[in-house]
Amino acid sequence: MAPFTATEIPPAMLAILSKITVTCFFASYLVVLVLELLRLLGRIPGRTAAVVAMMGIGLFTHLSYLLIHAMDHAAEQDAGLLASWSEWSSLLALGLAICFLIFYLRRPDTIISFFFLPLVLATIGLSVGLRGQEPFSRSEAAGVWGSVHGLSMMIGSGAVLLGFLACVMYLVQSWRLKHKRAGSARLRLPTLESLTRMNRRSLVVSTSFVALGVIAGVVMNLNRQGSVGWTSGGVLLSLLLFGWLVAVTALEYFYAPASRGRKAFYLALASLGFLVLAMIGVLGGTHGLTS
Amino acid sequence: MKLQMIGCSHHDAAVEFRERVSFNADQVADVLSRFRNRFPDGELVLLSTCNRVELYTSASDDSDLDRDSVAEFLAQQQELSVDEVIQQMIYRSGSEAVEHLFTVAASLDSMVLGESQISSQVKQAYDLACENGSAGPLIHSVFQAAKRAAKRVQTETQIHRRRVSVPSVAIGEVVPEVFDTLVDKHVVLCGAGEMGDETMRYLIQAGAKDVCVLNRSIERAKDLAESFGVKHAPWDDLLDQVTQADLLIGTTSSTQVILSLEQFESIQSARRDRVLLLLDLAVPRDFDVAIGELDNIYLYQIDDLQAACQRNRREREKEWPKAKQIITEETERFFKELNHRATGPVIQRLREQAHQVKADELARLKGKLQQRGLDEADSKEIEKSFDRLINKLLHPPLASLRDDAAEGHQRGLLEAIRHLFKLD
Repeated sequence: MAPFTATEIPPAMLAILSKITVTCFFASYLVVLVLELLRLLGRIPGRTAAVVAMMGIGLFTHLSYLLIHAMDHAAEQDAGLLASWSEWSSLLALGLAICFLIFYLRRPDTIISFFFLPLVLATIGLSVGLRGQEPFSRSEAAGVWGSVHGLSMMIGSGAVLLGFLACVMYLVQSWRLKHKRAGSARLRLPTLESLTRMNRRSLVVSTSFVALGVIAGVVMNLNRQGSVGWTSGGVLLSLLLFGWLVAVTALEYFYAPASRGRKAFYLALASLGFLVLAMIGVLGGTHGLTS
Repeated sequence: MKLQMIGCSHHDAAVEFRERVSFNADQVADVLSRFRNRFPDGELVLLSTCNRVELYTSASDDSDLDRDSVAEFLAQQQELSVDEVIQQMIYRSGSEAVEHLFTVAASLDSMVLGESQISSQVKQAYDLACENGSAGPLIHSVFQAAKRAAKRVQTETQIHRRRVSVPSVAIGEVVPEVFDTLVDKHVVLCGAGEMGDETMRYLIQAGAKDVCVLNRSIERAKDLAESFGVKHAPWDDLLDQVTQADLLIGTTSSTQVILSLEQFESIQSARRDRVLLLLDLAVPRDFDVAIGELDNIYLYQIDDLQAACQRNRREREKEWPKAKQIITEETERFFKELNHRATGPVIQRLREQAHQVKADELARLKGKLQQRGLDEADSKEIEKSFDRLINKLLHPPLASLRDDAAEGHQRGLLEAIRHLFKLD
């Protein structure tokens, strides 16, 4: 197994990023929590912008720290990439922080920060506390990340199929309503509203899990062989599926008309097409075979 | 004591006659008072709705209060001729009258089979009779039994469960195919007339909170909106309201469409392709039919909803035999209980008479035997023996009497026992 290095990052930038410590992102999240707690004292102009900016800084430094630290750590000790309890705690904190930012951007008037941020800070504290523990070996790490990759891709694929089914049912229900079949006790379907919601949720779940699956796949490959075969069919088509899902999710949230009625069906149909392509790429090649 | 009914309904009398013979709530109370003065021993419940006028009467002596006397009384109240009343109104008595009342109360005789209003109207008529003192023992029994029969029909059949009015089908059956709830939906109701009022009731029942009423006369819109605690807006705001609407309902009496395709297309981009359900309950129609062809727009017109109403009516009619069977069972049960109650006093008097004879004979016998030294134990034994004798003698006639009561006193044993044992 070849050791993985951070040679792709320019040395100057690497030098700057290497100076990032846990304190940087911990402090960013703490500042966000303080800003949010100031709600108790009254309205502060620009607080939302400040929270978003500090969260942005926090997430950037958190992610950079994890990447740089993991690579350095693994290169020095020949241990697995992102393969220690400490790193997993830090990853968990990152996931929670990303979730918080998404929910916050959707409803900045809520006080979800009071609940999310203490947990984010606590998990960062836990990762610091677990630093002393020995990391898992590269083969063990590859096994763990392989499981996460497979499971996530499976859930993501299931969600794509579910979203497609929701859209097909939407079209049938829409046809029934257009043909004045409402009120018939037989052959009922869920409401248009339920089916729209089901499609929307499926899209979010599929995008999130495929994203997790792609990241886990990258980490698994780095652990297993020190590099990622970006040009292999399975990887390329999985990335294409991921890119498409991200685009559709963005369209869903930033351009509402795209998510309604027939248009949503076409998008779901295309998602299914990308999923089928990814499946062909994975099952038709050597993807997943270790030898 | 016998129940009799004289009345007319949409089945057998023209609306012109029903109008002449009907009473409003105030008049009913007066009629009940006048009836009580005229027939002090009589009982009366007067049921007057837009589809029927029926007088249910009973008296201890049937000869005092027969068909002619009730017809004459009714004719006097409404300035009709007795012949007219007798010719136009049907008459039922005894079990037929009871079965008819049960059928009416269970809404099986209504214009719209299974409509719920008639049950409460029957109850109101009975309550009014109770308040005015014109209800007696038979009326109490028969109306309580009618309530029980109506409840059984309601719970044991599907007859009341299908919606049959246009607004109820629109809100109760079409809306739940599109939306999960109306709580967070913007509903625009155009028109503040009778149909608007009825539709609003169903909207509120369905949980709609954000409702806006529009009407050409803003005063009427305001009145309707205020009576249901919702918003109203000037007619000129129609397009703005439609832009925000999730559910748009038309109930106006406008002779031209209030929303044309061109008008709708002008706001379509502002709606951002949101789903819109249009319920056009008006005749002539309120919304341009072409709007229903657009994507994400679902238009239901009155004819589409009438079809659902008819379908539901047919479903209700399928339940008719089951409901009718319940009415037959309840009528039989009522008479069984009534007859059983009628035998109670006779049985009691017969027993009292037998025990009186026993007591007299026992006293005479004990007096004689005590002179010969009758002890306490022997005295009790003799008393038990007399009791057994009476019970054995009375058992066969009483059992036969109960059986006869259960069959409606067809063999006349009640009267026979009364005469044989001189129980009057």
